[in-house]
Amino acid sequence: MISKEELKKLEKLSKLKFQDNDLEKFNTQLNDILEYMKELDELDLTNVESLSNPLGRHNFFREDIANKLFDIEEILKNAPQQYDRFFVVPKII
Amino acid sequence: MIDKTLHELVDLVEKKEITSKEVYEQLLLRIKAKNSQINAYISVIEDFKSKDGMLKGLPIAIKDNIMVKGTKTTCASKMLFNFESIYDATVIKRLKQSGANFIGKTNMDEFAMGSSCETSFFGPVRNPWDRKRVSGGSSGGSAAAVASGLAIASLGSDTGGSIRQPASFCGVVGLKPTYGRVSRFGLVAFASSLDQIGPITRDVKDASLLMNIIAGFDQNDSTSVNIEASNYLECLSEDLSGVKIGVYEDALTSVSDDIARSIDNAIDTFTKLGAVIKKVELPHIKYSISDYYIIACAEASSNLARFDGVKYGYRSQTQSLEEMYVNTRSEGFGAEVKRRIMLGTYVLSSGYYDAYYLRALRLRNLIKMDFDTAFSNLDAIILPTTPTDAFKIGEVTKPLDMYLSDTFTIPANLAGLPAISVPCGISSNNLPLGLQILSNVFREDILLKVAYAFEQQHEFYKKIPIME
Repeated sequence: MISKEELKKLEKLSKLKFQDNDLEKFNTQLNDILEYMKELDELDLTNVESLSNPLGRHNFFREDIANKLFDIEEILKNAPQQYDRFFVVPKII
Repeated sequence: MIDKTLHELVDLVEKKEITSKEVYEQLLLRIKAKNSQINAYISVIEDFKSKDGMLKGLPIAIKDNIMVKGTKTTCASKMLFNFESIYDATVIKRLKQSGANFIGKTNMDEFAMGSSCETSFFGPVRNPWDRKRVSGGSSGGSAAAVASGLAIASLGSDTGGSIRQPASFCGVVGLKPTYGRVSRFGLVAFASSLDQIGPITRDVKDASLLMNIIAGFDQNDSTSVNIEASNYLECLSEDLSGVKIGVYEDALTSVSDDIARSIDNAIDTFTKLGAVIKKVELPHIKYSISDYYIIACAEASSNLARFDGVKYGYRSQTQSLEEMYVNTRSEGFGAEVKRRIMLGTYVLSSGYYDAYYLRALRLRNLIKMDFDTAFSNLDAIILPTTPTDAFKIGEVTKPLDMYLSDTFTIPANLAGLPAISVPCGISSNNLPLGLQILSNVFREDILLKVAYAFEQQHEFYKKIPIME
């Protein structure tokens, strides 16, 4: 079960912020789901290998050759704020 | 002409009885007049080009998490409400090369997270059979558009049933291909080891036609598989003699009588067609929901870290950078997306990684091995697509209950298998029911053949509620 303190930590890790009453509702819902997941406790999985790609395959990689796919203007078209060739964010220092 | 299938329209265009421009324009008029009744589209594309190729310029509808250059791709989220696609997904490139036009971007659950389209920032999709009910999700807009005559055929994406479940709820055909069969390049990622793009169509022949176009290797998707795809139209046949079909009977203990009856009827049909029917045991499938929600949420929490307000999409105006990240994400994501990010972060966080995430990956292997054993002497497995017919909008309020509605579709994603939903009956609420068929990896040829043979016996596809 997730405690209130843990939930606060998760909020921080997820870069999310909840209102207090929303957080309580979330806690109940998440705990409902984790309670259901307790069914997995009955399984002994110690000698089973993990499977992350469902076909048991490995990702392939392309040759490390640079290809120009987009112009900078195209990329910046979706930027919330931009200046010259840069994404602009709130002042850091 | 709007009630015709894609392959019928291709034939009519070839015979010069109609033009694809007429179809396109008629469809646009219908969408403008009727989309507000079911909310299947987020945006409409008005860009007809004369084309040749296999599809002769006929229009396809695309789920709004797939990039079509020059269109908005919102993922039904406030986070991407203004995001403009700057490139074509590989499936779009392939469709364009085969002569497709595009008619619109369809509504969905936010970031494909949901089973009812109720989590869309743009409001729920309504089921064309009964507008008080959900379309299913997450590709609900694609399914409802095809069912109501607001699209001829469409693409959706399926992470835990998001093509097959809405296809079942709306009475159309939905196919999730083998993991790696269709490129994910240009699909906004939800859970990368589970996501696949696939067709939603009025009949199995249209699904085969679209698969012939979209299937194939792509070096831009590092999980794409270089195994030659068959010509899926040439695989279709009504003769199932010798085909071995397994019935997963455990699924039938928890469903309503009308769903159980629809599966019994399917067994009768397959027997009549010459198939050999066997029982199949899949001992670990019952843990699929737990397994899936650990893996899918873990991957989602990582994939959705990119939405921080810096490079694209929504940004909350704040004084500090940290505040900008947090406020952007808190204001830009809806409740279900946040729930999954939190759950995913939890199962990956130190102290819980081994207990949840690692164990889930191990269980995934057991589920995969169950299917490997089953397919060593079977060609296909059948079970219902969903445990119920389409539920009412607002009826399912607890997240866990919504998750449980994916119980029959999730195993195929965990094991990477191809799976299709075809209409197989009408419930006591006068709503469509779906038969789900699974085959071994890369055997879409057998899958489509079995689905086609079944469909030809019943012609449920002729009953779809094209809106007047």
